[in-house]
Amino acid sequence: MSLHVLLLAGGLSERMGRDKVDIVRPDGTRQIDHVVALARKFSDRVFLSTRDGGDRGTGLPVVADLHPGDGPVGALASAAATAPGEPWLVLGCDLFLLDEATLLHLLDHRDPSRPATAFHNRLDGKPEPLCAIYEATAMSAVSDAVRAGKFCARHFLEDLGPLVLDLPHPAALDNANTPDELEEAFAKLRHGVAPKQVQILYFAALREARGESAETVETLARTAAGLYEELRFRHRLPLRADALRVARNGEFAGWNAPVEAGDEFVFIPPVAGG
Amino acid sequence: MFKISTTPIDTSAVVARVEDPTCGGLVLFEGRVRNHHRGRDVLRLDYEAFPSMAESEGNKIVTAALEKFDVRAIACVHRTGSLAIGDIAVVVAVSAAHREAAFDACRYVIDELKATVPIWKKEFYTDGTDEWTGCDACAGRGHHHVH
Repeated sequence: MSLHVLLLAGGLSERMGRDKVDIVRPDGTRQIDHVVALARKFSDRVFLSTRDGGDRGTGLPVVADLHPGDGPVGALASAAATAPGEPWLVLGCDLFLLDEATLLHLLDHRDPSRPATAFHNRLDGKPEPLCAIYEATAMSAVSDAVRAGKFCARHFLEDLGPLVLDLPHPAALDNANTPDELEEAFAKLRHGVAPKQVQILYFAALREARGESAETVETLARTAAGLYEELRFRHRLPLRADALRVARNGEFAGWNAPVEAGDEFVFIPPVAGG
Repeated sequence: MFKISTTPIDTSAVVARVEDPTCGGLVLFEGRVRNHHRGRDVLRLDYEAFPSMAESEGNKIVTAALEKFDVRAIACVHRTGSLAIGDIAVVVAVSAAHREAAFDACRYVIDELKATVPIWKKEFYTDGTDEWTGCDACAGRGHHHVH
């Protein structure tokens, strides 16, 4: 018997400006269809989690949110109620870089004696909740989390004490929440991922938040948007990209500016000269 | 000419850079540290710059102004570091044959500078708080400071 798989398509995609699952990938497939096809390679019990019970054109059985707005933890609770006592593989439908090798690695290294099996986030090392296997014990703990109002999926998974694996492909779970970050994800899909070193200078509010005025970092980013998102996540920087401008090698540049080895980047907070 | 200065600005030296016998108009703008900002009492402030890019971007503005207006010379110096109330933060000097172009160019330079040159200002208030101004992203996000 194969694992139940829950594909999460209930996000609001607010900063993307359109539903992320309907985005068409560089190869012409719709994002949600890409994830459905991946899931079907490993299971014939694939379910779609949505806010409203719609199947987004996939033809999949739907696990509608019992309480729309409760996020991924709420979706897990809804799945637990659908198939009590079953383990679930949970996948975010907005994982643009998710591939078969990553899922194979997760399933091959799964330890059913642990409450969950997941991957380390490549930036902060913490377990990633939206590409993970939740065993029956974990699924039974979800309703407690919901009752306690604990809707942070990362905390829920971390508190389970999961088995946490290194990603075979480091960028496989990279996120994309804005059009610039989507461009970054597609650049990685098209051109692959290679680590490179760049110099970052910090000024004003970002210098204070980082606690450094300069650093050399290794990055997988292909664009300035991807680079800033790595830094923002790793250092918990307080400013989002939409509040900043980019300077690459001393000149203003777009968020889609390429990241090449040896580049110097400055992310410029709102200026206030004069 | 656009320069960042880490030491107090000598206004007369900036003026001297644009003086020219063909010019009947010389407009001088001094930006000074004032003791209030949006209803709050300011004690002092710090200016910080990305010096190399501030000077390259500042010089682009000066070059654009020289093309745009019928002026003879433009010099602009912006201070960085810790400044007290009344200290000179920026000086713009423009000389031209006639006053109108000099006024227009001077205003253009200071307005563009404020909008694009990578210089930041941190204000320290009499109530012991401080903040980076122009930080619109912080507004309304639950930060304690008010802009």
